[in-house]
Amino acid sequence: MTLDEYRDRITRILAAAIGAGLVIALVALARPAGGHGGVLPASLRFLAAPDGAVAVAPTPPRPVLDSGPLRPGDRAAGTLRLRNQTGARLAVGLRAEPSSTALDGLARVRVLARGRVLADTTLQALRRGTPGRVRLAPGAGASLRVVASIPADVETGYEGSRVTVRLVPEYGEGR
Amino acid sequence: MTAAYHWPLWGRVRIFCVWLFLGVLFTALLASVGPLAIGDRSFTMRSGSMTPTLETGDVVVTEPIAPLAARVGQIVTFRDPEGSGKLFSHRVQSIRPAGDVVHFVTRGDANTSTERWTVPANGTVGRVVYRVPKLGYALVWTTTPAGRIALIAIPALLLCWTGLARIWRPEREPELEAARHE
Repeated sequence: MTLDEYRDRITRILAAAIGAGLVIALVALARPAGGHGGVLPASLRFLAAPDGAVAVAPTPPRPVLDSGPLRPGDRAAGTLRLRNQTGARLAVGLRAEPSSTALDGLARVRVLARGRVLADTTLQALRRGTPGRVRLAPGAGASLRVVASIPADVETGYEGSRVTVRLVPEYGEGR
Repeated sequence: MTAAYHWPLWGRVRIFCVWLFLGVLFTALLASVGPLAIGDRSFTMRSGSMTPTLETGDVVVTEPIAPLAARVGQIVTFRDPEGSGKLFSHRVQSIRPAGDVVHFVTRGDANTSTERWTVPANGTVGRVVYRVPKLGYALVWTTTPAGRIALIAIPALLLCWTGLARIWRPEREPELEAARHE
């Protein structure tokens, strides 16, 4: 085999391999969601509900937490900043107002403030509010970390669910 | 002595392009019809009911599964429950086993209405595994008279052209070839 023939052969093999690779990449990228090997994931989006007494950030439509694709065992976290705009001390908690009940008993939500757990419960239970409160002096602020997850032992029921949760501040004594 | 041909750069570029095309074509066809060899099936999407997940003209490849192995959110292929004989590939909204049958509710991503249909619990449904975008247009075209003629004529012309090119291509001078190998 001459050098030119050898080069031609290499060119052919390389070109065919690149062509095949292009198609394989295209098919892999175009794979429909919910196809074989993985069902459609859930997604959770938390938005803060603005309130006159407490300033919240980020403000809607920017989400506090946008989970993206969420499957059993997955978790996503976001931060909500609160600032007391009143002249009085406030004990601030959060109440969840989900857009649907689809993930109520499945998704778990953990809310932490200043290293303290305000809530570690299901989305359903968070409809009643966080058991713990964060105390804010007039003008003071705090960052709350919101962690949403679907426990690894959940087998079904979450598929394709997309839930938007409003986090509404509520006030009281709390612990 | 082995006849060696001199290929300038454009000749090698042409070889590259031709084999790139052949690689794309062969792999796309293999992805579309190859799964038939292992019991899977492939279909061409003829409507936009699953847009944008599956577009018109896409080839979808499905694998047969037991009805209860399907999950909400997956895309399954089934016969039109209204008896038209058409095949639909729509997303599962709910699955409910009831005795010997399994009740499905499905909906195309771009549709506003759902379909309700049943399948025997020991039957099968097709689960969409992957799609080959737009290849269905070419596959459907090959079933038309013009497509059938082209399927025969194009390879025949290519063979003729290759043969004539070999005949007409000037042979390299032996001295040049020897010099090239020194």
